[in-house]
Amino acid sequence: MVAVAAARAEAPPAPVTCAAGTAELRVDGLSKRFAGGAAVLSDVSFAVARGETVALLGANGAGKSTLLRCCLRLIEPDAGRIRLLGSDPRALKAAELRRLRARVGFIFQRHNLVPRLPALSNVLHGALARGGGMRAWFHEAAPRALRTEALECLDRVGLAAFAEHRADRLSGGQSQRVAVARALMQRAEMLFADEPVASLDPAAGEEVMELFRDLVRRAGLTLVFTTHNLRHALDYADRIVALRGGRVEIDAPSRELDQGALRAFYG
Amino acid sequence: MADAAVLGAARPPPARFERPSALGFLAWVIALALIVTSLDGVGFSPRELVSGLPNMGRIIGEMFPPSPARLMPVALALLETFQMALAGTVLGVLLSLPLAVLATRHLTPHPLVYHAVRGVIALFRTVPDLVWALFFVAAVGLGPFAGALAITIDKIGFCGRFFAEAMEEADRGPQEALGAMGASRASIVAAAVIPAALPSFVNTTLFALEKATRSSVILGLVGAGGIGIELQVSMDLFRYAEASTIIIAIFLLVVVVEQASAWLRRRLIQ
Ligand SMILES: Nc1ncnc2c1ncn2[C@@H]1O[C@H](COP(=O)(O)OP(=O)(O)OP(=O)(O)O)[C@@H](O)[C@H]1O
Ligand SMILES: [Mg+2]
Repeated sequence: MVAVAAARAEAPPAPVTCAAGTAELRVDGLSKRFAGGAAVLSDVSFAVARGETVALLGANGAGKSTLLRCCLRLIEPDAGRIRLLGSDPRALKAAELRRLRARVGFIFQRHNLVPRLPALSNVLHGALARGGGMRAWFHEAAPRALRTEALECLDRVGLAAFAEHRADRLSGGQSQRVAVARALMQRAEMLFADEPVASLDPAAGEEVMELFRDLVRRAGLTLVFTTHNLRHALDYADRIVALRGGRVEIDAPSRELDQGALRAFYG
Repeated sequence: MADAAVLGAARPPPARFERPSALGFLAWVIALALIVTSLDGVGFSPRELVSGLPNMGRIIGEMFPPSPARLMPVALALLETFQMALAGTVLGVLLSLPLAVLATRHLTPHPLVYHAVRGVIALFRTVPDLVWALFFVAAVGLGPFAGALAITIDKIGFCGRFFAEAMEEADRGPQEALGAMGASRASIVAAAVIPAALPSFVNTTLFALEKATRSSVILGLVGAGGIGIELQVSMDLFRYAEASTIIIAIFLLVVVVEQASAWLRRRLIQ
């Protein structure tokens, strides 16, 4: 926490408390039921402050992925209010919604990248929605400025040497770092990461989590990640939100929790 | 173990031969009747086949040695045949791409568009290319242009369908990832769907070119350009030695196109 505060001195100021005006994401009474199924989310409320890292926990099927997707309207919620980066995704028209999505990086467990394209093109895709358009389809055809920026983003995740490598020939850890580089290319203000290290070996997983921590500290990003790794949640998150049966069961600073408390939650 | 024995006893093994149901029996009878009446319908007669054998032998005999008399016109007609096939395939592939996007379930702008385009593609595919050739000969006149148009339509029917299927099978993960970043539908198609479907596109296109080469030979028979007309004239005038030259030329063209296409396939698909 001290390090975070220190890093924030040169980043845009961001109070750690989650008062009404400063929340980057605020969800109120969100509910979702898929056709023909039980309610996946019922009346979920939580908020994420700027610069904060929040871990979203919950057993398989608890609704973590659904919750993240609802926030960007990749899944249409049934009810509830969402405030994301100052706007209400549910009230936006298609084009505006795309511009909002462009400000949020979304990293999935796997299959993030277009397999047959080189890493650099995949990073370049980060510029698709923030005005890149067709110039951001393939790095071979991209203007120099975009290309240079994409290379810088790759460099920030330590993969500058892999620019020309095809995405399907990268290791799992490298793929996830390329996905992070793509989010940097988006110039995302916020990151959603859905089990970003679940398919990585422990060392690669740790590397990716460290990369997230570094980005949050240096670039002032806000991060929400889901995980089944309790130690990652305790070590890397400022706050832990845990879902059970579609409801928020725990919402507490991670320093107030420990492995024992979280194990008890899983039951 | 005890449980398994109980289970085994409760469920007898399936009979080795199933007694056909009444409906199944009827289906067999109908199928058999269809085959017999078809043989009868074409006037299949072993006697005529046997009496035709000497004729076949004579024609084949007269084909050898192939005559080099009209080598130049044959070569030009062969070139025209290939040009028809290539131009028709390229046009057909280019037109197929946008149509196939509209005919891909998760990329189409509207279900109505999806069904309309699928319908058009199915129509183009189900009507034989010879019929399209007749239509275009009537519309734009005799010659290779009519043939190229017929091939274009036929290839839209072929590539449109397979392109759409390749795009439907493309991994959704990267597409969702781009959608989550706010990419437009056009960007998702260009940057995620087409790269994923590209090997299949290349395969389908080369296969279409091989098919087009074979069919452009036939299209000449209805006056839609190419070498078909040369072959027909030679046969009609009983110049079998010339005909055999043409047949060998066609054979060479088809083999060369197939080999080139196999080579390109290896080069392009990795
Ligand atoms: N598109 C969908 N259609 C129908 N049901 C769905 C859909 N997506 C998710 N569900 C259901 O919603 C519930 C919550 O799924 P979700 O993926 O959000 O859980 P999760 O917490 O992310 O689980 P995991 O830890 O396994 O990733 C599950 O029961 C799942 O079957
Ligand atoms: Mg999930």
